[in-house]
Amino acid sequence: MKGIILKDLYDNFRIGKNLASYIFGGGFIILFALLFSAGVSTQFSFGWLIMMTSTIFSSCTLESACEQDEKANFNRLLISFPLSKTQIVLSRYLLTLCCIGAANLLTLLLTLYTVFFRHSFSLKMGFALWALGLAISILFSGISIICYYLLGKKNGTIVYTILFFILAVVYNVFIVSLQSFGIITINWTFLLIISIPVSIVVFALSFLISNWIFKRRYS
Amino acid sequence: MEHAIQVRNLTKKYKDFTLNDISFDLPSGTIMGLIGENGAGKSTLINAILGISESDYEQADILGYDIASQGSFAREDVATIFCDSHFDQEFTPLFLGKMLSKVYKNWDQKAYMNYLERFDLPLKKRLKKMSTGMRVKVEFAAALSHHPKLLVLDEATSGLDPVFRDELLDILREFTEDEEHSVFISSHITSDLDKIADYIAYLHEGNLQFVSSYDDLRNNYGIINCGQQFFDALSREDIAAYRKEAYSYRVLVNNRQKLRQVFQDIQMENASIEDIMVFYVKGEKVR
Repeated sequence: MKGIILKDLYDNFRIGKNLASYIFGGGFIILFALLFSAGVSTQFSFGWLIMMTSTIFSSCTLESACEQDEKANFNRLLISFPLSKTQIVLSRYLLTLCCIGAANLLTLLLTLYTVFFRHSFSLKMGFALWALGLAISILFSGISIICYYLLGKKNGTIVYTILFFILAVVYNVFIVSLQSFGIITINWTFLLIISIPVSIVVFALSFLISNWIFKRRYS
Repeated sequence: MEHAIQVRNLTKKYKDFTLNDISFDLPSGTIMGLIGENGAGKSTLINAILGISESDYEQADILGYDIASQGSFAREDVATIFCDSHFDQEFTPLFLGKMLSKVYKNWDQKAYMNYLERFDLPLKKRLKKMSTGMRVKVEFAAALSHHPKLLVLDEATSGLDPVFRDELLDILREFTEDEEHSVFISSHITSDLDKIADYIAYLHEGNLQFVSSYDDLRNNYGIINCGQQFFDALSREDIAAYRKEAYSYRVLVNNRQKLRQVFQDIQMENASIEDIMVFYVKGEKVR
């Protein structure tokens, strides 16, 4: 499994165009967050930054790996390695978990910076936003991996983009309603108690479904 | 180990194709060539015996391991090179070695570096910037560097020039100098198999027509050009297939020695693997 993880890391960060897309994506997110922070509340722009960063960087490793595998039709060779099909799928999920960890560590540092150095909001609110970002990134990663296994790189990316757009719209509506108009009142503790376990369950189910799809495709 | 591959009654069904009841053994230390026209089921058979796809069988062992339940163990000692599945073209040979060292327990980095040096391959050049021949060489270097006991090649020499193919055949010969090493190779280029194969398995429309030692094929099969009278006089059992031409018959016989004794002055050509394959596909069978 280490070999596959190493390969996928190479596909993501050692191939110029893929690395460039990460840099571009990162720059775009920061720019977007800065633009929004100018007009809307800091909490909103910060939530946006957290959600985009954690979600995008958690779930997109499979896209590059999938693209490279499809170009070389690598999967046939991959299955001839001394690994079971379940281990192959599991290695992709482990890498995604590592990325979720890394992305959310980054957003945690951003949160702490925003709380302690910019004093934009309380630690409790910052932590709640961060934890919501964590839950969304786990949930979104689980769903997007299924899309890639089911639809392949091209169609998977289309569905991924649509899902991300929907997520962005839902988030915007939710936060704007919450912050600007006070329509929605929310119990953050309750939200996190629900969302984190749900995201973990979805991620676990996602592994089972992807494993089933992969085995069925090569059965 | 007596056999590198043992297959009994292996069947793989698709909607529009069936690999039907395949049985054969590949003795250790030998090279078996798998021949058959496009769509005959060669890649399907290779996928099935490597456990890449699932199949029904009574027995399917690779290096003594059951492919369904112990496939991962078996594949530690198997190397594969496919014509339609490759390493990422963005890889460099150096990275490929690093990656495969994490895949195979018995990866030998020193052996890999020696192969790269022997094949004159640059360490840091991406595969996409190499010629087809160089890329195949990298695949061979990678395949041989975990000291496999079985090498499975699926049309791996397709698209290569004759000089380079000959070089690869030398590598295969060298590989099988160790009597524990075996090769299972599917190829359209039957002249390559004429040079190296100890056994030939012939697959036609999902059915294994025969598995025979190369020597037996050469000794038993022959081609006779004859007229109607002689054709009628031939025992039907001795005719593998025939092709009717304008005023004569071209007959592939499968009992050459016996026919030589019966018809002592008969003109009989040697049948190459390609001849046998073409007769089986395009020729007519006697009823």
